[in-house]
Amino acid sequence: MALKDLIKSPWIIHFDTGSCNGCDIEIFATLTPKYDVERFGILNAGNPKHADVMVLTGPVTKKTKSRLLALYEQMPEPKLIIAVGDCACSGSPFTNAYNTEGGVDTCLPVDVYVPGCAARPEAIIDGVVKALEKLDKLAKGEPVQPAHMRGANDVPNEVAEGNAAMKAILGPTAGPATVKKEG
Amino acid sequence: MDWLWLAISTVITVIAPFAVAYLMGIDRRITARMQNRVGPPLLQPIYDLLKLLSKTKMVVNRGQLILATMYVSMSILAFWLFIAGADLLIIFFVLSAAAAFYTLAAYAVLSPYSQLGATRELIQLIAYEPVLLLAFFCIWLVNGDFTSVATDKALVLWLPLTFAALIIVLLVKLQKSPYDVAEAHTEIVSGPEVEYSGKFLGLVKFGRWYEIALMFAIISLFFGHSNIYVAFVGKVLIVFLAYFIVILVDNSTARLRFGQMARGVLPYGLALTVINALIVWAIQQEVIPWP
Repeated sequence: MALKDLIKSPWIIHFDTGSCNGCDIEIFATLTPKYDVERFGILNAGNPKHADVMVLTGPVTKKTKSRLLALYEQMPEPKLIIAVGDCACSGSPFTNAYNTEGGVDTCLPVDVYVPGCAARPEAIIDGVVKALEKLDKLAKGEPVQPAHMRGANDVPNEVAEGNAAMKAILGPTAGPATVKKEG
Repeated sequence: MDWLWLAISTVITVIAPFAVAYLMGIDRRITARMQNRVGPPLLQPIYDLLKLLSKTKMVVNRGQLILATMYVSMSILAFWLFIAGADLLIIFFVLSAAAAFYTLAAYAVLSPYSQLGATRELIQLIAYEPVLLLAFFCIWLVNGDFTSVATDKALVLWLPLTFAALIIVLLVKLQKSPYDVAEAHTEIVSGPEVEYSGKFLGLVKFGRWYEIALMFAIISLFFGHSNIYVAFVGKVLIVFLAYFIVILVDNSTARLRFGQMARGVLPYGLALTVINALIVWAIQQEVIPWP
């Protein structure tokens, strides 16, 4: 029961894919004695080979994408990905920017989205708990709630509304589409 | 050695790492209380091990795995030899072999963190091994032989300075600050263990529990009594005392550099053990009058 064992000791690795450091500081705040995440068995491993949960902040820039994929591949299964902050969820203000790929879900399967600019420590802890709930359900063989199992580009309502509003302002062809190349 | 004792010592060897894991759970709780937080469940190290063992295999280098397996088996052998009542010197050499395999395993991968950790591991080996050997020599001086069988002497009254030196060695062996230079999680990302993942990280951690169990077993030699129950309670208390001092030091100091570690462990450890040995020798030779 690999998933069942992971619930009690999720070790995290935090990677900044191009964040403004707002969400990073909130993650460091989460790891302080005030919020005491060690009571859930959460440790900051700082090493992809030891980690189970990858906590990502910021939109994926074209430069960090290869590093992100390298880190992801070094993590042994089973592994989870939590996107922290609006940028990691959808790319928010950086959608269609010439130097970013967009949200984390453009490159990797995200398990939990934690929206917020910046996401508060309470929200981050809630995100980890949601991830563990998902694991618990998977371990028991129960169907997973659609809210915790979104596919690529299927982002939370708040974020989706924000994106729609931005598209309305900027127009559907916002951003230099000719500059955006694959890979 | 009769078959019954062989069976008992094997059973103790199987149980020992889990007892150490429970102690480490208590350690994490006490540390949490000292930092004004709640802390993880007492069985957290066991949960961590189960999780690590249930993850998929990822291998960087087969040679490293062979050396790591040798490290774990040497640690288990060293502990079993102690429980079976073998010579302390043999135990010392098997323990050194375990540490050497651990270092070689770290050198077997090309990660700079691993290489750096291996070098630091060697330096701390050079720093604490003479102290440990001299501590065994002190035990020989009082007990009259090198066997690890417990005597009914309360060694801590004879060898208080050696006990203090062993606590310094314990700080190194348990990877506690100020002497957690080889592991140094925030600095070189757990050094020699950086390239292990999943199952194999669990294996190495399991081997480390045996090493720690052996260190606690050596500490427990420092109390003995003719009544077996008094001896048992005293041994448990002295292990808890030593561990509590280690936790206290861990939480009130910051990590030193590896040079400072070598300069701290080796001279002070040697001085403490040699002075203690000289005093015991002087009392035994009746140079110093003793009632």
